[in-house]
Amino acid sequence: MTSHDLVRRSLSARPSRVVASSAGIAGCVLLVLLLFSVSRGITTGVSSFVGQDGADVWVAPRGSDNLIRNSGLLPSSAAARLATLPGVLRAEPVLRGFVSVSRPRDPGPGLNLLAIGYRAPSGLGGPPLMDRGRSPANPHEVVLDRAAAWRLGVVPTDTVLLNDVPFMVSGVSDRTNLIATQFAFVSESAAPRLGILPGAVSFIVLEVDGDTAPETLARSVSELDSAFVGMSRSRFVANNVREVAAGFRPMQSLLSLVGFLIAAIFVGLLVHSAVEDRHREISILLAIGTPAFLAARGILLNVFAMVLAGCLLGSGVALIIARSLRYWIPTLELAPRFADTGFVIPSFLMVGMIAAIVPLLRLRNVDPVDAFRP
Amino acid sequence: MNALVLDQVCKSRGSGAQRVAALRDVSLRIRRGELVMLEGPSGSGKTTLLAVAGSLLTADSGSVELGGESLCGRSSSERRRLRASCVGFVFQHANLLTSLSVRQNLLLRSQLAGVSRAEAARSADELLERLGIEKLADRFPDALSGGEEMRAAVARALVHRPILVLADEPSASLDGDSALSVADALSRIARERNAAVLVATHDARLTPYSDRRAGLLDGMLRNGGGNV
Repeated sequence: MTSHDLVRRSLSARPSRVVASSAGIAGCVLLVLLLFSVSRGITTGVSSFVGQDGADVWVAPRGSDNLIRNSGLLPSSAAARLATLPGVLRAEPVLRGFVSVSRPRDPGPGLNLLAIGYRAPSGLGGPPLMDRGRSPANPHEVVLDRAAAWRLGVVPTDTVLLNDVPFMVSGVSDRTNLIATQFAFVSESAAPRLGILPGAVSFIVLEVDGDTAPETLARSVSELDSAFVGMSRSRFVANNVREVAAGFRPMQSLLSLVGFLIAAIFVGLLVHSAVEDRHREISILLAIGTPAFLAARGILLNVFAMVLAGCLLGSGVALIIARSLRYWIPTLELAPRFADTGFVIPSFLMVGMIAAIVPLLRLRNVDPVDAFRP
Repeated sequence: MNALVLDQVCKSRGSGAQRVAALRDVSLRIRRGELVMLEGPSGSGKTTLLAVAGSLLTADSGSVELGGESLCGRSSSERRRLRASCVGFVFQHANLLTSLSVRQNLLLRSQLAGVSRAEAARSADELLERLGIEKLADRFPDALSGGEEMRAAVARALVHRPILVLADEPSASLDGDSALSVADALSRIARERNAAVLVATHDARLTPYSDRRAGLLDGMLRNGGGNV
């Protein structure tokens, strides 16, 4: 071992303190990662659906710019009209409305789900990802979101009532949970059975060829008819994320900031206690000729290792919780990403090192003559 | 050759109303291979004298020479380097680094003095064997008895072959046999290595191991300072 290693080791904290400190940091990291994960879980439900492949341009009635808050309707004939535009490969209607879903044996208020009618089974605007089963093949089948199916206690091939009309569950979709509600997908031709107005649609979804820019086509659609507003997929996703997350983001930011501050204070205290607890060792090291920077480096490296261990522990636990909740409580949608960990760990390390500056300055107060005292 | 020369050194400690003159016109000379006992009651300035001699503190006035090199006007990093290579400390209660094994305590001390890792390891093993604690090399200080710990502290003070060893009450917490064993090891090995030793103590059991005795009272050296 080099003198650097030996100095660092001589300044290492007691194992019980290392464990307690790392656990504290892990708790902070866990808090922040879960907040990120919950936030993304909420927006993933809507962005996965509206951001699905093939849905390059969304056409809505003027005054509507997102899926969540949408009141107007378009004439169903609009799809045929938009299909004639240059660059459009497909133009298909999507219907949207809330339906009450319950089990036949368990009549009651049931769940209020956001029903999406589309040209099943392979039309635009269907389930973005299937968890089990298949898309609806006829007007008597429905695909329920994973969380909704769990709440209802149904599996593929079971029967459910949509507005008191029986449908067979043909499949269960993933990433279609909006927390407050979930998606249910039916065939476009099933819409009249659910009381959705005939002859009207909520959106027209356009698929464009490779030579056409979606933004350009969206502008052309908006200019074509004052009743239409065209939005590229990325714009429509952004509008929906804004709509869903607008109320949640400030809270998430606040809690994340609090998590960071707690972690910073925690790390500052760790360094402070490392300097205070190791006062005797530091004075001995200085007395026998250890450069002060080497002692500071040793303390910083020990704290760095402690914070890193806490970050990795917190990240691991966050991942386990997210994976576990997916099976235990599917209604609680978490969407963990490694990128979050990649952001949180360096941030915590940086905050920790900044918080260490003041306690490290206290090293100057350590008198090497203290080494003579018992 | 003189290992340590103090010439009319004065040093005050504390500040304001608490300021006291810890050393007053102290002159002391110790040759290499010589063991000097510094006697005096508690508060007489023994520890301050050791700290000034070991360049942990700077003198307010007077001059200090270590191995022929004057400490006057030197920066703190220069004094630290000189201390790392030329001085060995035996602190009261040993004060080994508790997170390091006995061997690692010695390795660190040697490496701070600029000794290569291989040479440091060889030197540590040799010294531990000479002190009869080679089997304790991988133990941590908490697992040692008082005598074993003090012998390890002596090894740490000598491992980098300093020209001056400063020992503060090395026998204070030891029983009779252990105290004599430590004093014997310290004086024998230091002489073999031609190192000067200054021992602050009021333990009369150590007197037979000394070449000279110096008395300190109220910061003033009463006798035994040698010819400066």
